[in-house]
Amino acid sequence: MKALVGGRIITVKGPVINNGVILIDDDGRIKSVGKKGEITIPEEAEVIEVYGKTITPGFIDAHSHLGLIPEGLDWEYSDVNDYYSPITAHIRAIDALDPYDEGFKDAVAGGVTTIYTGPGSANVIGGIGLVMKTYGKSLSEMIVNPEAAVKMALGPKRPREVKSKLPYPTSRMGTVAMLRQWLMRAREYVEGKIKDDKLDPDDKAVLEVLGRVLRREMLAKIHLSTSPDEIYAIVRIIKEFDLRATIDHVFGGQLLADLLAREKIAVVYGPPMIARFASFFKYVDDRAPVVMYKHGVNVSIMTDHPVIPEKHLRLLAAVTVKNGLTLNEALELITINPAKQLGLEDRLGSIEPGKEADLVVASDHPVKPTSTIEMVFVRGELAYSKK
Amino acid sequence: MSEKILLKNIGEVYTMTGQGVLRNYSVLVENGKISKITEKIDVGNDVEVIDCTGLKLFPGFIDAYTHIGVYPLEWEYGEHGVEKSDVVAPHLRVIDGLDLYDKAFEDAIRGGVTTIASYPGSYLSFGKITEYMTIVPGQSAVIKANRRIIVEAHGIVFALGEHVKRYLREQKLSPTTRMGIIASIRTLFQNALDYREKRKENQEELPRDLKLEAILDLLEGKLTAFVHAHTGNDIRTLVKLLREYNVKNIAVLHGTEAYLIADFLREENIPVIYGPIVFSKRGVELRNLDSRTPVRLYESNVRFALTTNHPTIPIQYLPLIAGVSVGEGLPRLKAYEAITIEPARILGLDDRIGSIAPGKDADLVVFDGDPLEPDSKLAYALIDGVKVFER
Repeated sequence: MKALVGGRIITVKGPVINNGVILIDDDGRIKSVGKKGEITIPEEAEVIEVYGKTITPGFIDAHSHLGLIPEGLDWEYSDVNDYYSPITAHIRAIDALDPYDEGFKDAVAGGVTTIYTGPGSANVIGGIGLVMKTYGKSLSEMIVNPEAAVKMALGPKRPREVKSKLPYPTSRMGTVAMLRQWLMRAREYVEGKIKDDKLDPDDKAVLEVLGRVLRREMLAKIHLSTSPDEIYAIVRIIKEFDLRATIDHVFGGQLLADLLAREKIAVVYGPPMIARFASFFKYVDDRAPVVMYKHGVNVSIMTDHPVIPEKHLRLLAAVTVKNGLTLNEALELITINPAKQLGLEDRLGSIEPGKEADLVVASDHPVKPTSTIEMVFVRGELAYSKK
Repeated sequence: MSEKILLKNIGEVYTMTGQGVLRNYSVLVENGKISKITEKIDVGNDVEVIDCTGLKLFPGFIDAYTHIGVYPLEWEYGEHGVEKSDVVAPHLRVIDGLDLYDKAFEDAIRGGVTTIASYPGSYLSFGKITEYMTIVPGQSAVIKANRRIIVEAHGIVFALGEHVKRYLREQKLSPTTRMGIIASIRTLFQNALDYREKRKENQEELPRDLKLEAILDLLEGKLTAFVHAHTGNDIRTLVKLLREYNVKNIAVLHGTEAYLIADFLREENIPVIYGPIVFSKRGVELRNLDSRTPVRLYESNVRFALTTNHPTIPIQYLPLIAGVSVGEGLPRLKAYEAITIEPARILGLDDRIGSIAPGKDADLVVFDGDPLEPDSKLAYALIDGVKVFER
């Protein structure tokens, strides 16, 4: 049993508690949260004094490539895109992941305790990504869900130098058509209309995975490159196949916030802090997540690590404050909202009894970049200490 | 538009001149310059008065190392940051290919950034396909965010490292090693010295060589030498070469591993325009990129300014980036200095910008809170005494 005593607790789902206490049980779960004096601290509890500090849930990044694109090594070590075919739904990030990448250590120091990390966007269907903690004694301890989502990616594709099994589509319509064709095939496969023995083994593996997506057992993470017309296309696909999905990146989302709110589609925005340095970024506007949030869309913020290093997720939340959210609203974008998107709302994303004790202790509100993160707990274990 | 503006009853004035914070002061601006800083001041009807009660006044922020105007939306029609036909080109001027209508100048004002240096070469990119760098890509310029050019030809960039090597290799250009790159720079200096001798002997008949004249301007102290390098070894090698030819004004760009050679930089009195501090450790050369480095430089007494390296990080987030270094342990005052007076000193423009004192350019930004915090807002911005932003 551990007791964090004193400190301002930003619970995210409930009210802010000043001079509070958090009890953490031996299974690494939050036992109780409340005002000091209202909660009995058991005698055997290890008391950790956090007077004057601010405590928030650990941060969650719903879109990262941490452990797949290595820190401090050249690009030949990168494992995010396989040009074997534009349809590689069956390949898995966990088979390439390096849990010893120093980016994990940095992430924990930055208060990021849970990430989705997965394949890139070079393919129409890129593969299976995983959800994991950034800290743990072994990979199996870190894993939350080894097959959490299938990455799909709109936008024109670049023909590759390697010989691929299928040709890559080169236009937006070609990409959407290929995605639709495979989802339709998967539907027929699920309905038993395609005979197993007629299938190429790779295709069968792809259809098995897509079948799980169609049954809503797996999340579809759909990348859109930069253009609002892709948002329309994605919404059509999501509705047509009744997918459990998030739209990722959503540059230009400020223009279609109404539609996203009406269709109740969650989005993983970003990363913010991108300059309009190329014509395809013409719709980029750092106010987008703020506009979507205010329309009632479930928005989270991504680092897209290594685009922005994982440890700076809270800085990206600060960018939304610069553009109109309050500090506590911005905190939702890196805690409860991504937890909901990843189907982990019952386990993560807020400070309440029964949830995992992933906690950040900072010198001030951690969405302020000037604050210093002093301690980070993952499942109740001290994963980082500044001292 | 009023020629005279009085910023009245300012809650806190951060002059960045070492006199601490002035409380409840007023600042009078006349003809584009700061004319008076006093507690009480009476002015006539010809003066526009801005009430700054409870607000904080800073000198306009300065980003000493960007590529503003070089990579606006139209980049696919040409890479204006480098000239492929000549990889050792000290006579090229970024100002000749710079888009003054880049929207980033407006973004800069929104972030309180009033003076920006722009350089040839390229921003750091997550995708290496857009990263270009030659050995000597040309000369930098200094521009106010109101699009007024204040120094057309400011310094010459010399670049060493993997980015240059990789770009030359991809373009099937040479040299292909650090040894070759350094030799080509040495040859350039040697040719410039020979040219100077020949010109003394035979001024009339010698054809003009703009390339070598640019190097002579550097040797005479009219231009600054900017050392574009990431690793400690590369920084030291380039600095030593420049010192061999007695180049006085030297500053380091990026300086990712500057902290590894802190003693050397301090002894040589060479400042670092450090950044961006938020970027991926992409590749071996950037493996030591770390937002804690400004603290290390501060602790080892190396002079430094902070930069966004726009468009790597958009220019308007310069104060947020300074805030990150405060979170890493840099004293707040040092962070303010790193985006005001320090970059002004490094650019050799501290007699005009970077602090609040009579006679200085009236580049002033007023915030409703600490500008390093995300929840503070810019209230007013003045450049050259003209109001360019009002909330």
